[in-house]
Amino acid sequence: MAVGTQTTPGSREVSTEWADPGFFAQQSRARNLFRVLRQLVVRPEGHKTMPTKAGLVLILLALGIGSSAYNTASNILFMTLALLLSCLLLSGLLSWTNFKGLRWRLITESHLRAGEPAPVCIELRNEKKWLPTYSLWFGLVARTNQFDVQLPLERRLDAGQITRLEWLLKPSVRCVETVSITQLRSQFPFGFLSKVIALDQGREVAVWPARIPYRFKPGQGPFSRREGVSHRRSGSGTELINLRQYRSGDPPRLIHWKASARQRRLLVREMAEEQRETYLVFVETPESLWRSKDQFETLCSFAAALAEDLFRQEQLWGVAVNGEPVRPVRRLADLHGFLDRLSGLEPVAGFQPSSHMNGATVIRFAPGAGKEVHAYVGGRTAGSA
Amino acid sequence: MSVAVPRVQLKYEELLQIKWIMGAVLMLLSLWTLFPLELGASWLLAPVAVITAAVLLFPGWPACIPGWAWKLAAPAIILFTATDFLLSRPDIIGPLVRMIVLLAMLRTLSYRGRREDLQLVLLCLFMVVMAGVLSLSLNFALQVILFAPAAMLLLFLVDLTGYTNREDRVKPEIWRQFAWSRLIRRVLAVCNRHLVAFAALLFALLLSLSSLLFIMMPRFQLDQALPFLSMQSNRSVAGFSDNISFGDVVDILEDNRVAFRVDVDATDGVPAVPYWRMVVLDEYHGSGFRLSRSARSDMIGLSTAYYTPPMRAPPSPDTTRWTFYYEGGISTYLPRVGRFTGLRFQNRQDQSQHTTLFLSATREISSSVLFYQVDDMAADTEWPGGARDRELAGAGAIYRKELEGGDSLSYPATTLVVPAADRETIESYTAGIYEELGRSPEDVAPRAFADAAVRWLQSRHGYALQTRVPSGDGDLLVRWMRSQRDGHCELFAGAFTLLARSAGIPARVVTGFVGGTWNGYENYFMVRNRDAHAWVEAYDSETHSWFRVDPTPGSDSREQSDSDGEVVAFLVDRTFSAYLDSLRILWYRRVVNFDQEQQEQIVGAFQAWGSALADDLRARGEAIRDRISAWFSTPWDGRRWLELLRNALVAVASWLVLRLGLVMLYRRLRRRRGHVAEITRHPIRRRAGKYLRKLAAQSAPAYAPEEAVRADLLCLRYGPGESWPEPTPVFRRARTLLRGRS
Repeated sequence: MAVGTQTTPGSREVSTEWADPGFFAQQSRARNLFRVLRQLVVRPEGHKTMPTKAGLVLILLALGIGSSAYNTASNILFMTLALLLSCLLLSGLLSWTNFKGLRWRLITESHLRAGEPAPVCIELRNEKKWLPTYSLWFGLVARTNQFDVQLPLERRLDAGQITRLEWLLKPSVRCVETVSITQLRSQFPFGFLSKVIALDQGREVAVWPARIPYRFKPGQGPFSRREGVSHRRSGSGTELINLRQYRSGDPPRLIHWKASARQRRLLVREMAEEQRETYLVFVETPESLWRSKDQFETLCSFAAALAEDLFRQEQLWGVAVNGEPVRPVRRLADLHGFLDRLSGLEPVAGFQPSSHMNGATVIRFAPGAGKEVHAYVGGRTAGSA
Repeated sequence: MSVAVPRVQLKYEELLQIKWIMGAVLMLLSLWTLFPLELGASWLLAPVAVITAAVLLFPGWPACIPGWAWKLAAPAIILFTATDFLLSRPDIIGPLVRMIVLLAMLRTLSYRGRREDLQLVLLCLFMVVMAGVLSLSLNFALQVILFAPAAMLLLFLVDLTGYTNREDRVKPEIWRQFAWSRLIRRVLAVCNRHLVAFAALLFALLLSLSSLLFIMMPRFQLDQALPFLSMQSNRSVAGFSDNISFGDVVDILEDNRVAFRVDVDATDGVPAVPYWRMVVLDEYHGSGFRLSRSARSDMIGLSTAYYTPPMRAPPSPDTTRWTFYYEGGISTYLPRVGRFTGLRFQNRQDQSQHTTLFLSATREISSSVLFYQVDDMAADTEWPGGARDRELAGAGAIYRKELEGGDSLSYPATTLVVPAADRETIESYTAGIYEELGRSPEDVAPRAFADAAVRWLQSRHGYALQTRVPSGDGDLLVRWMRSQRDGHCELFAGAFTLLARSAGIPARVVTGFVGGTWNGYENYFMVRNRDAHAWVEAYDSETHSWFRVDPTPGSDSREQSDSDGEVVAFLVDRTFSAYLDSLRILWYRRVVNFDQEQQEQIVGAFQAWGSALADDLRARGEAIRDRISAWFSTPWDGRRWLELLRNALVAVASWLVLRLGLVMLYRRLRRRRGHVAEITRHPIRRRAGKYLRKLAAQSAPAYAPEEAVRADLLCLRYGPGESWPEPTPVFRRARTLLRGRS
């Protein structure tokens, strides 16, 4: 992971499959050769070779020298022309050699967060036996956020080496972003020809809503329980209520080592359940309610930040979006699922807000003045963003 | 996949340094190509080369040039070039070269970006190509072979430094800590045998591809091809101009350089000692001979690539082609041994032809080598007289008091002029010759007189390159004849001319070359400047022809041999200098003079080789088939079956053993070489080895930290790359440990 990048807790790297330039990929040398020869005649789709400015100058130079050679029958000029053309041919050959044995894949975080930079990497592998690979540009695009970047391979990639080309992507809006490698370009070795291989190798990454500051303080309702009071039920509190024999699946951190040593059998601690208020975050997005786009974005950010914080405080028991069934949140993955859902959430036309989800632990949201969004618990205002 | 140990890489700044240095190297190479050319730019080339070499050694110097100087440089060059073009009119090449040199120097000195690098490559390419076209020299082959990889390396570095989001312009800051030794060490550390071998392979491939393309490129016989950048020379050898003074030809004799080379298809009709006739000098002017104005005015100006003379050599059944490679700066007159049916130049050529004196000349003296081919050239010892030459029959000598000025005679009367001041002396010499013959002048044929006069001269004078004609009154040649001192070919030819004219025989001096050596390596004539010679052509009214007389001592024996029709072997040269010269002729033949005909010959040779190969293979196949069928047709018995089985078993066993041995050998070599090479060459492994040796050298009791450092060093030295600890802290700890001990 690159230094200086912020990553969302719990994010992990995900990658696409290894890809190759489309030639020299067979195990058999004969097939590779046949493929290359065939591609000399029939250019594969997406492959393009264009002369650069230097290449155009070279071609013009070759034309000039060629016409002079024919006009004057000067063999010195014929020799110069032959050298220029050989350079051009050699350039094509070296370009192929440069691509040979090259493999790459796209690596991204499993999710991004709007407004926070995160690395998007291309992992490059040179499978050649002896020769290095030089001078490549990878075209990368984040379509929804409309970012476009060219990632250069600045250093030589020796045979058998792996390297990473990193792009810090800072998505501006929450969305389900498609990050793709669009092209592989190289002017290797002399900069005469630009060989472009069009690619469409990408993956979708959820861009979670940006974190925003908010205020949340639920009032003590008639049915709410007092916070911080322990109950004699086993749970994840801090008060030890019992020691019992280790059962498969118990977390190792609960093992009471001193007691286990004395008893010569594994004993685990049973802690009292600490009673806290737990909530259901319920997000409803009827189009009729969320007309302002900014307000809707605030809603998503507010809901995401609130859900994350409640989960950290173990006060989130479930989430629900519109008419979808309530999802209990027991693990981090459940929370991520909710945030992923928020990343692609849009106002729903014709949706009617539910009237029966009004419990004392249900957090609902409604637009306030301006861009403000209010959170309600049990019908009472509990916070705003 | 196992991840190999990363190799050392050059830093971005080091790549920029090498790129800039390669620009200066390219510039020096280009200047080298221009030095041999006489373009009036040598006063500029030398300082530019010195400055380029200086900044190559001290690349930080250009940073000291103030900004205003850079700003003024371009306008100054424009001003200089405009003035240069104006002052050098109508010469274009000289100012053009000077302009290119100045622009290239500006680009070399400046800290360049990508665009400026490409401009520099183009300017240098222009210089090299122009030098090649103008000089046609063999050196061009070497220069272009060096230039091509240097330019490709520069372009490669331009490309490498372009793959970054940083600016690829060389900055003055990168030279602050620059040291050649460090850069060389870094480059050597980066180079490995695979890269070097691959670069060598690429270079060989480039040369092979270029050669193949050069041969395969379709050629058309363009007789009207335009002469391109043909460089004219102001210099010619005085002995081969149309006005010589005595001693001019002798001066050339001290020059051992090759004047021209001649390829001949068939050597049957080639005399062992050819007389390469160049200039005919009919008018005597007291201190030498010249081509008279009237004779010069008869020369016909042409501009063509192929010339067919009106008076041709007798047709021969097989066309023989003589290819001349005539070095630059010799003369406008072209050497030839006789009449021919056609004269072909590479391109359209401005030329002059004299149909009665049989002279061929180009309008300007080429400063580079000139190629021309002559078809069906006969080795003439006699030249047919012109229509006006018949007027000479029976005409006596024309005695003139004033050889210079006055009423000048026109050709062919000029071939009878004798100085009147020394008439009596000359006539007395002529009478003496007749006396020796014992016949009256009327009974003596011109050829008999010529033989007698040659004998008379050679009896009185020996041959010497250096001679001193006594001073005094009267004609120079008469004074020399009177002195009986030794002399050189011009004096002999001149004296004979006066004697012949005095006897009423028209005579003219001819200059050119005689003889030459046969290159034993590539089979062609090499005629050197030291073979320069002067002889005489005298008119025989009976045969209406001009016959060759060579009065210089030593020439009679070779002429006798030729005239007797004996097969005289060429003087074959197999020395080292001949070998070097044969490389030059190969360059001329295979590269500079390569044409459609040779291309067809190569194709024909390939076809012949292919068909011969096919025939050979077919014959071998048939032989094998016959042997197999004979083997099968032999009756089978137990002994034959056993033999067959035994042979099959031996073959299989041998193949298995051989294969196994080779595989084992290959694996062992690969393992050993790969590992050892990596351990001995990788800088981190080497550094770890150095610390290990130092630690081992200090005999202190081992303790825990040292063991840990030693283990890490051992891992860096011999361990696989993926198991390496971070090298820098390990080395730091090792240094601390060593300091602590000491």
